[in-house]
Amino acid sequence: MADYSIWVLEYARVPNYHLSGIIYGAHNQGYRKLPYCYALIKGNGHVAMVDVGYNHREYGEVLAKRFNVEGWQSPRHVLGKCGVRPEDVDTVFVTHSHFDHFGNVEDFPNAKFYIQEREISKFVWAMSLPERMHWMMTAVDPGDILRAVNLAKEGRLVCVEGDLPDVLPGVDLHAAYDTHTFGSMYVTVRNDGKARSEDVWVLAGDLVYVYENLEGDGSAVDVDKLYIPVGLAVGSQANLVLTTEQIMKQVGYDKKRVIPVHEERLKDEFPSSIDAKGLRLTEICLGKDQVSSVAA
Amino acid sequence: MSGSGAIEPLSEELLRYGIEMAPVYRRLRRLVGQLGGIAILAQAGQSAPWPDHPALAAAGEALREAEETIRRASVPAEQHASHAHLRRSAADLAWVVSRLRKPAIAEAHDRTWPGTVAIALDRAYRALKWASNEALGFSLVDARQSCCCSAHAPAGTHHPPA
Repeated sequence: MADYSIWVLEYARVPNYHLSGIIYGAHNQGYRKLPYCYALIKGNGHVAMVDVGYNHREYGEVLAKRFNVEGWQSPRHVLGKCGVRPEDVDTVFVTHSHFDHFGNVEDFPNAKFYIQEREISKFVWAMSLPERMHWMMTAVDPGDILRAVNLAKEGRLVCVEGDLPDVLPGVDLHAAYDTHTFGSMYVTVRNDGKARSEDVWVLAGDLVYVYENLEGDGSAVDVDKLYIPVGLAVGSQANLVLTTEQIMKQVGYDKKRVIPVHEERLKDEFPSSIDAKGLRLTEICLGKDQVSSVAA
Repeated sequence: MSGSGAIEPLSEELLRYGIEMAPVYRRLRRLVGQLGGIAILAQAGQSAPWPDHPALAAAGEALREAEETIRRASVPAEQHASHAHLRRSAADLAWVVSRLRKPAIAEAHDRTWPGTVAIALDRAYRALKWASNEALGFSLVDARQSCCCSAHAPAGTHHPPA
């Protein structure tokens, strides 16, 4: 029986996101719904999340009006569908510092947050560059950094340097430097608790947006399938491809075990439900004694 | 982009002010984040050479320039209150830089600094928030080109199935 339950919870969405942002090079190929989600991991006496979404209080209205982000619901509502309250969350893994992943820290008063030190230090470095180079620091909200300052002051922020195995029993953090951002990371859950696990799940953050990033059309280069990186790389697309290979090795090349939280088609692969507000809950796996949160 | 109501034209005086001060606003916004990041790294016990970190020196210089521009600016009447917020934000950030450059921090002799620095950064950020003005380009969050934001599709665009 698995150690952890894992869910992917939609908390907002962009109905028409340009495909070239999701799949590198897919210019003028239309739009796709982009759900905004975070992951919930529960088991072994822990309630953990991968990312926490954006701060709707501070700039939700800006996002809604300018960028067509819609349907935001609070963590209390979203997590409640799994019987979890925000104050129950004891651990948060921040895959990267973009505002839609690192906002909302204030909603989790009892959590310890883990982020790559390099994500912060390179951010500091990028901020010192002339403004003409500030493309490198778009989508990072200074307010989120300040909220992290308060976390650090409270002793609730851990700056990780590189890989960190067993941050929780069977849960590992993996650095993915200079990919989507300077200090991105992804999370693996070895759900049988074994060192050489046969039950690994990867929560990929923004390193993988959709299934085509793992298995895209390779006809342009005379291959059947190949990795196609996501559209945005502050680091490089090459590093994204190399990281994708690392991720796939973690799961024995079983792509179903890589969970892209922005992938709408998760609902086709795993039990899912849609609530009255149109938000999806996807149940990746259930741990010991855990009742399903997906309505029958 | 989403539709909006009619746009009020800005006076020439206001436009000039916006053109002059928008870079200052952006600089202060950037410094809030940068100094916050430095404070995080310092509290995390990073082995950066405080107080001689090059980012601190650069931040100090950037603040001196920002404060000078704020002091010299010709401020339209309707911007006086907002301009005062910019001045206060810059002053708080200058204090943060001076605090972070104290050797006592590097030597961990002063244990009060995380709280006082956090308070000053919060104050600087709130002042920027009060000075925000989308029409002048004083925007706290720059979500353009962010990973999960984009302009929405034009009306009538076909949406292929996911």
